[in-house]
Amino acid sequence: MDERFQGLQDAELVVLAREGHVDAFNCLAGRWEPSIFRFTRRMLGNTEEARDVSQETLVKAYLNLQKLREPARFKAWAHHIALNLCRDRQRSRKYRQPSESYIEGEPGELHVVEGGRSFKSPESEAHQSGLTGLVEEVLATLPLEQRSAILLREYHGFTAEEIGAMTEVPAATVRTRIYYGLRSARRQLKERGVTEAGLR
Amino acid sequence: MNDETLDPKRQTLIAALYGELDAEELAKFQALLEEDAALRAEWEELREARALLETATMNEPAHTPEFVFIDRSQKEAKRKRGFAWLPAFSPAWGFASAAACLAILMGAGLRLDHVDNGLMLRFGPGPASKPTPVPATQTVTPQESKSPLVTPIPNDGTHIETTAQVVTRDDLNQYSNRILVSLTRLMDESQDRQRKEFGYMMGRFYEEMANEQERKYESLRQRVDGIGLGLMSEQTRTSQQISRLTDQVRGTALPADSVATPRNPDKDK
Repeated sequence: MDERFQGLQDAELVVLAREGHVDAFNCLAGRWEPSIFRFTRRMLGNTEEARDVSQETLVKAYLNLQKLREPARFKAWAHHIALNLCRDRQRSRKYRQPSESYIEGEPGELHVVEGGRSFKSPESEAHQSGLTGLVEEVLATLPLEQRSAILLREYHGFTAEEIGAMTEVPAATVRTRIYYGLRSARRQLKERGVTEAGLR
Repeated sequence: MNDETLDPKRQTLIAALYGELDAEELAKFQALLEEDAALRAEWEELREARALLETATMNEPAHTPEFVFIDRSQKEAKRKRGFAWLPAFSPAWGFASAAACLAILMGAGLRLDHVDNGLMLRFGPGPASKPTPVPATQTVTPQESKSPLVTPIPNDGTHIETTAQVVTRDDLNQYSNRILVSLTRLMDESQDRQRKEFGYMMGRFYEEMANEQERKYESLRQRVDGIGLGLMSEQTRTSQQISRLTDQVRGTALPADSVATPRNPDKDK
């Protein structure tokens, strides 16, 4: 990757990439790919699928770069593409798998329940006994819109307005989704004996 | 999913939870929290949920960016920059290179010598004139060596004479003529062989045809003979029947004078 681009802002890199500097786009991709990957991994609960989706996201971003109206909003735009791809994936999963509700696993066994599909992600296997896996499992049980709102707000630093622009809903709706999602997550964690006091 | 928009108090609660309020709004919200116990409980609940969610970022596997677009035009440009002095490969360049190599080798002393009935590539200066044999010294000719391409090199100072000569245009013409004659002879022989094979095959074909014709003629003749015999026997049977009928007619016959005889009109007259 060309080191000349490292110090540039997203907007500048977008402009250069539009002019045909592939390395400028590579710089953007290197900057945001980890974030996109973490987001898709938490959305989909599967590392390999998340890797595919994050790659697909960046390819789509590159191909549609001319359509980006505000170059400074590249990060939000790329996450928006990733979110739409995750939605598509989950929709296709629902068609593939008969819908089931919550699947209760053995104590200590972590399942990620996704659109009626239960699987163990490599991370959940790696952190079976850890709190991280449990939190991810709980997040995976949330409805997609609540989950995406919480993930984008909690882990990726987008404001309610930015998330609203991404998901084409008002910011108030985003806050509502976050509110109900957080309450649901907290309730489930409490049911499993996970509380803030227990962490200390 | 419940997408019904929250009341303003809870909207502010979420905004405060994520630090989206300015100082004035925050002060108002804190005052509200002190007044509203239910809101305070919700605040604690959501704050705890956030604290628990933060633990998901711990022990998170690191992800190394692996996405890189490769610009082929830039790669090609780099390659061209690195090897710009090299001409692009083409048949013309290949022939030119081969010719240049040959010129260099000839400059270094490579020559084509005519040795006996063949040609030989050699290095070194060619013989300026035909050396006169020195009877006192031992002469070694290539015919004496086991291989015509290997000239024995004596190490006892004896003079080596070879029959190698510089090839002239006439030599090459003769050589070409000989090759042409050999090729013509080979082609003639091949054509003769093919002609003979063709003649043999045609002979076999006519022979087969004649045999087949003979067989058919014989078969036809036998059938005709059969038909002839049948006709003869039929004729015999018919004759016998006629004789029998004649005898029968004679047995019941009228007197000879009553037998009707054709009248002769001339006689009647």
